[in-house]
Amino acid sequence: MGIDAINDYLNIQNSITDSDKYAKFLNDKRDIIIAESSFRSFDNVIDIGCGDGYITKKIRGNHILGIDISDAVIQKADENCTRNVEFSKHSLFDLIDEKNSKYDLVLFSEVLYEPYIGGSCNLIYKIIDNILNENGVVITCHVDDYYRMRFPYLLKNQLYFDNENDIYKLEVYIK
Amino acid sequence: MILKYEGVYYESNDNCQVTMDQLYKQLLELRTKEIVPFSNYDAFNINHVVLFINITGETDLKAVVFLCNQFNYPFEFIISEKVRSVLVENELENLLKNTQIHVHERFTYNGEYYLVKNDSNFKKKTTAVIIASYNYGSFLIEAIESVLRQTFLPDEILITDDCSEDNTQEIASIYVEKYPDLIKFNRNPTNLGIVQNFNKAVSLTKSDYICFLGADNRFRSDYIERTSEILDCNPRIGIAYTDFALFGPRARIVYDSFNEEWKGSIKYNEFYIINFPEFDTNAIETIKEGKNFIHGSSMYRREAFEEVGGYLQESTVPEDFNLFSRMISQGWLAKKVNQPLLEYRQHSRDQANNKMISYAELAFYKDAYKKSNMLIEDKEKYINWLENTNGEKDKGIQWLENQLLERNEGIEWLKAQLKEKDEGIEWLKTQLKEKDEGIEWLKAQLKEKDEGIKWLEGELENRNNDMK
Repeated sequence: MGIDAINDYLNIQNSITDSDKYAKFLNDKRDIIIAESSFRSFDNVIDIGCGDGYITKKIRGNHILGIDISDAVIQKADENCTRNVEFSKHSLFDLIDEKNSKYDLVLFSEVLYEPYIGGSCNLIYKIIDNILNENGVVITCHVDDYYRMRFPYLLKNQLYFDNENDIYKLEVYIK
Repeated sequence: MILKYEGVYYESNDNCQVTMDQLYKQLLELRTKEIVPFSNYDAFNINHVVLFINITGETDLKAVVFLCNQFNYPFEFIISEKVRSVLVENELENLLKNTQIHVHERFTYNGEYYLVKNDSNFKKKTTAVIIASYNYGSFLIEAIESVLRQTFLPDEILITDDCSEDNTQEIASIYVEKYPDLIKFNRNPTNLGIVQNFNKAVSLTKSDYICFLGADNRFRSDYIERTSEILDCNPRIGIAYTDFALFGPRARIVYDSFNEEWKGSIKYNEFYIINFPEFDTNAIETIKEGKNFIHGSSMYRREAFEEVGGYLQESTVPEDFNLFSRMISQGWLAKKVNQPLLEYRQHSRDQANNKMISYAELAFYKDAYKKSNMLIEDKEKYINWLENTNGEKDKGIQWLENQLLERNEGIEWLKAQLKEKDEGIEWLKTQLKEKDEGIEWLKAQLKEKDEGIKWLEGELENRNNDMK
């Protein structure tokens, strides 16, 4: 997808030069996501665009699946994996094939940016609606400036927090 | 009308490449038409539309099939032998099972057809959202964002401010600046009250469908998609209403005050859903009894609004209920979307007026602050540049002044030279005069000498004569 846009985006990521600080921020972000998801328990959880699984491995649920399109990060995520967490190499759009598996929690952390998804917001809403149980929860967490989506569900909570460079928005939806 | 898509992709690099989102939008816009299979197409029926979609090697076929299946339309896919040859065996058959998609190997239609572009628009009816704020500035951003992030965008958004004393105007102005073609702002110089404010706001919009959103509430993101569909599909329906979800500190109390049979599910003690009755003959009786189930944020036709003369002042019941009752008495139908598409905030007035800073507001101001800072940085850079330029100009002026000074000195010198020359001339003139006088004197001397000579010559003659 748009190389320029990806580069722009990566520049933003790289602008956080102090890697310790960035690691701490990622931990904080993960803790916020986990805190915001703890208002109920989940049977099936999917973390879409899970990266190395730093959130996937900590989130609570009976069966947890992390998917990512990068072979490398999935391999890394698979190391030291606990028994109720699985990783597999898939894209968000592969979920069209999911026929019977229904999730109680769908998590997107820094995935729904235009360089990654192009102009396919409505397609994504439909794909997610297809795999999300009634009363299921969607949690999204993105840099607010680059995130234009809104899932067609009730918006339970929206929370803003920031690191030095950007304001992040976390949304919790209920189907 | 035959419509042909050259290709549908995740992103569009030229206008012939239609994105998934644009395809979705255009398919929604076509719902007033009769989409028919190519085999049933009647070129003389202006309501008939056939949808051809060309599948290229770069198309995500599975995704396009999935998206098309969201609509109850027949489709004609053009899949060449070449494209088909790279698919896994039976993949196409499995994908198209239980769909209304017909496959053609090539596009053979010889008549006129319309090539759909990424920016093609098939909308017949337009929609206006009016966000009404009276001292609801602290919630306004959430309301506006809920409209801007609709799955099917409105054609105009009007923020109407009934002379608020809070930051409504400030927030609205920033949004108008950011979306000048979509958002308009009206501020009443005095507080007009609901009825006049609402009638004025409607008169400031021009769309076919109208809906109001209180600035303290939010639309679910499929509100416009679902409500406008109802009005699109039946011209006799004047009002599209919905269920709603109460939230906020007083949600529970308000929920408890509703009819038992209207109370819906409670979601995580956060949302209290009210399921209103369907619009049928019983429901019309309910309305006549004065019991309202069509909330004020329902979408209605401008035509119906104008026919009954808009919102009325003298009403003893709420102005929206009064409007909808008159529309229904006039013969307009209503229909409900069975989804809580309105998030209806329940707070006490105190809280609303407390200027409670919501997170959204904080983020909005942080963003505005960041942008202002960037603007200030730019301005500072410009000032620096101006200062530098100024410095250089000053140097230039200095140099010019020096030049001028040197020139002046030159002129002075020339003048002095001139004066000296003049004096020289004077001196020469004096010299000349003296010489002339000398000449005169010499001439006088010469004359005297001549006279002397003459006298001597006379004497000489006299002496000669004497001698003779």
